[in-house]
Amino acid sequence: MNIEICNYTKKLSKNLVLENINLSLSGGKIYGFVGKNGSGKTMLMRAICGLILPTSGFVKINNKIIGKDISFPDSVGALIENPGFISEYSGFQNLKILAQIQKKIDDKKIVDTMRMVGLDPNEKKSFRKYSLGMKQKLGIAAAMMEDPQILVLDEPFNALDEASCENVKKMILSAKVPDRVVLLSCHDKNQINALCDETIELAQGKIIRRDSLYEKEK
Amino acid sequence: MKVRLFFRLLSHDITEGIIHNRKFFIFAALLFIFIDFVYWHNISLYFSDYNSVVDCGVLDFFMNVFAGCDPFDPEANKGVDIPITWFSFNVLPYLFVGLYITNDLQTSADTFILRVKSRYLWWLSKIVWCVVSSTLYYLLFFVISTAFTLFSGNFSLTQNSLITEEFLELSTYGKSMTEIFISSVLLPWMITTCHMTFDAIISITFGPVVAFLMIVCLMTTSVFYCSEFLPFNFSMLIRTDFCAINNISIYTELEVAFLIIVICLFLGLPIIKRKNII
Repeated sequence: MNIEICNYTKKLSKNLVLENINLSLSGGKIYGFVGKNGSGKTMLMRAICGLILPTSGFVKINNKIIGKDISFPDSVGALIENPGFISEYSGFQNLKILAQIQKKIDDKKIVDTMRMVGLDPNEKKSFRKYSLGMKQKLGIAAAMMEDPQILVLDEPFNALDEASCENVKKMILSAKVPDRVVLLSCHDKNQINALCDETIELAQGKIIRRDSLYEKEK
Repeated sequence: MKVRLFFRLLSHDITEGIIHNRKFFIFAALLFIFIDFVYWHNISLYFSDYNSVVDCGVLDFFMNVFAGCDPFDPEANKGVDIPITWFSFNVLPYLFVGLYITNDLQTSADTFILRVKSRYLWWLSKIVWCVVSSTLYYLLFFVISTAFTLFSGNFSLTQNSLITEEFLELSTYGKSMTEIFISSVLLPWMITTCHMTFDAIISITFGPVVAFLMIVCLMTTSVFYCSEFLPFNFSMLIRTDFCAINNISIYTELEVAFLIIVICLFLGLPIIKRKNII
């Protein structure tokens, strides 16, 4: 798994949200994106997922250009901002509907993933009545349940209690496999240091720093 | 694989856009009951002096909605005649088309669209959803109108020529039941559908509020001005060749409406391809 971002610039309503981004991301690593609010972390994640297209430059995933060769990455699981689920269905029903699109997993996997994030798969409560933390957990479960090759988690620890944060941390660490790229954004430096092999700092749409674990240990 | 993905998307649209948006259809049903009740009551009063009972058929209710009005004639020394029934029936669907489509694009992006992996399939699903929603809208009116004819004790799917000619002042002389059905049901349905697809394109480009306002402007302009370039005219019986031989043929109008749907489908493809899903 290889992601290449070359001279990527994105303008939205005359605002430069990403400017000349150059990045090479490879499988088997967890990359952490840090930066102030509005620095471009979420936009960069959207760019990698194919949800936005560049003003100039490109994103290449396994030598296929997003927006040219493919519309979206072949295998991606994303939690970006507020996850969109069907309000009237329970968590399990929502995940089942999503799982039926690609038919990669069965009910058992959905149940296991829900338990791992700390949700009760037998809970009949509709998504509309979920707390913020529960919605976040469901979003994480939806992103991870199909073992995607690109895992994008935008601030996954938002609204989670301490125990849930630990659960999610373990899940993210277990997601680190040779053929998978994990992209994570977080405001908590401790979480980033504990989880990520490389940290990429953004400011005003530009990459201002890139630290690898090796360099941090030095 | 693409076909299966498309039907998954369509199923999602029908669930979210129709079943979970049922409040809209409930409101529509109430409006239809009101429209039909007022018409049925007016017919009863108008023909109360007749020796025999004059009952409405289902098509009478459709013809009441789509009778339309004469275009504005500044030299006629007449006030503006706005067909409120026609207006309220027609404007309602556009309130929720744009809102659903833009809301779905924003909320379903990281769940459905990333799994379906095709912007084009998403757009195709929305166009088909417009057709399905429009069909359900008209079916709902059909069911409510049928209920009224059953309630009156004289069930009839057709129209009553006496009502059409005396009350609506529309001549059905020489018109086959097929022509009456096409003019008062099929053609208006096609017009609603083609404008829903137009609303969809404008919504994803400029937003649902702009789309709705454009539709209202088109409808209002159509009331005042009769032109083949304003398709809303085609859903008024009085402005088609149903009423006057020199007006545009209903079959041509059906083709134009179908063409608009196809154009909107293809026009939307490059728009959705470059659309930022934020």
